[in-house]
Amino acid sequence: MSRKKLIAIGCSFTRYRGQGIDDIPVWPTLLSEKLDMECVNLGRAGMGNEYISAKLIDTILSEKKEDIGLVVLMWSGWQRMDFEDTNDNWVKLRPSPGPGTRNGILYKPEAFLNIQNYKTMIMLNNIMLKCNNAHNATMKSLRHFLIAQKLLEDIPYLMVQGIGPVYLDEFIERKSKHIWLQSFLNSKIFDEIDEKKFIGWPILKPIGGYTINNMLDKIDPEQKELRMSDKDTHPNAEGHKIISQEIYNAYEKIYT
Amino acid sequence: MSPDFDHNFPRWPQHLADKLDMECVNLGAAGQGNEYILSKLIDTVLTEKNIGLVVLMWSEWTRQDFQDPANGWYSFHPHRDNSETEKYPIDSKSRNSILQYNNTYDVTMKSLRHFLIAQMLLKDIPYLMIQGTSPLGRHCRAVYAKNRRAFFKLVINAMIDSKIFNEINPDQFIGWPILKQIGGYTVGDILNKIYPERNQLKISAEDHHPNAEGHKIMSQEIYNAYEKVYL
Repeated sequence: MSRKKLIAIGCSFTRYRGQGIDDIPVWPTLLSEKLDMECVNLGRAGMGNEYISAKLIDTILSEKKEDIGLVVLMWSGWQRMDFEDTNDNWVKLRPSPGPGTRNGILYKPEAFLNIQNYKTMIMLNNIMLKCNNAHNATMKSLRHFLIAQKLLEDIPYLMVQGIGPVYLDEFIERKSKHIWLQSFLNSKIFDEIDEKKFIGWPILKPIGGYTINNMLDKIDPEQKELRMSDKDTHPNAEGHKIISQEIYNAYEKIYT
Repeated sequence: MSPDFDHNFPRWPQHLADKLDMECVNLGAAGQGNEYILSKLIDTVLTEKNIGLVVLMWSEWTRQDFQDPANGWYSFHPHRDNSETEKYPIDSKSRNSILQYNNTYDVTMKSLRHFLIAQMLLKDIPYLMIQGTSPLGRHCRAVYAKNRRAFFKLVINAMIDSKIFNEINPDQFIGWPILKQIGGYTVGDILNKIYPERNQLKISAEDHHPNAEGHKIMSQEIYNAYEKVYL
């Protein structure tokens, strides 16, 4: 009898740089070994939650339920925008609070397709950021979470938030941050999420949740041991071991 | 969920509710797209207990919906030159750039996902769906003005090749598979068939939304489908 499948969907925290063969063993590979499952890694660098939802739907429609051992969704940045083209080509749009440096992070305006003029680029970046503001992105991501949960009702699954969800630099005023947190907590979806199967729920540190980034930073606050380098904060081989163990622990609690 | 303009006549949801002896909850909002519709559906499924029927009238596929806590929902129509009415007006070059992302294939696939998700959310609730306005008519004029054939080839292939296509329940999606070229239809097509000039069923020469008579016809079409599936 063939092994069941571990299906992992996420961004570059799931499939580093999206190369054909990953540079380092990433958490889906390590987890599938622990679980003795076949690894299907659908992670793609740069992608957001629209991509993750689309790939989940593809999976549900193409894989036989009895062949799936576990689906793990590692959710990406909520303000990332994903667009699909033919032949499974996906294009990303990441309007950011740029240009400039804030809290030591360099933000560049998005390089929009067919736009050469720098001022136009900044204008479009700012408009798209206003449209896809933190509140909008949060509500949309909550919908993604709920829909995924419903789609996976009859299939073993776990979810976790990989990277930081929104650009907190947007919240220069404390009041705005408060409004945003309220909208997250007050959403009708908030209480519908099955927190046993969402590792780190409710995601945000101020309300007792955590992301994979938070988890790694707790162990390695200087980001020296578990990250690729000073400039590349993706988890390194050791970081991926810790991530796979965290997910395995959650799996054990629920499914064994 | 149909657009709700400020004209003083009953819309199809009210007519239909009267026919079915149900209370009407019309969550339509002018200008919004399918993300809004799906969001309102999720709200409804999570809050309402006594549902007799949900009808989703899907909107143009290219519309992008956004929300913020202060102003609620707004919609961006990259396929229209709405610089005078849009919240964040942009020039045509910028609009064309956005259309590279929000391209024909992308919006087709996103809408198919919306349909499937809605169907899944409504599996235990009586429902019907229908495409209201032409899904991509204006988008086609904006992007493929000179090559409509290539445009429809792309959309039809995207739809038919998608894993979702065969999952949609045609009994509960009135006019499925939507596009005339593959045997489907929209509300617009229904009205056009009755009055090809549509003058009798439009609000005015400038405003092509269905008038009072148009809304009666729409409600009858949905009622007929309801009868077939649920009575």
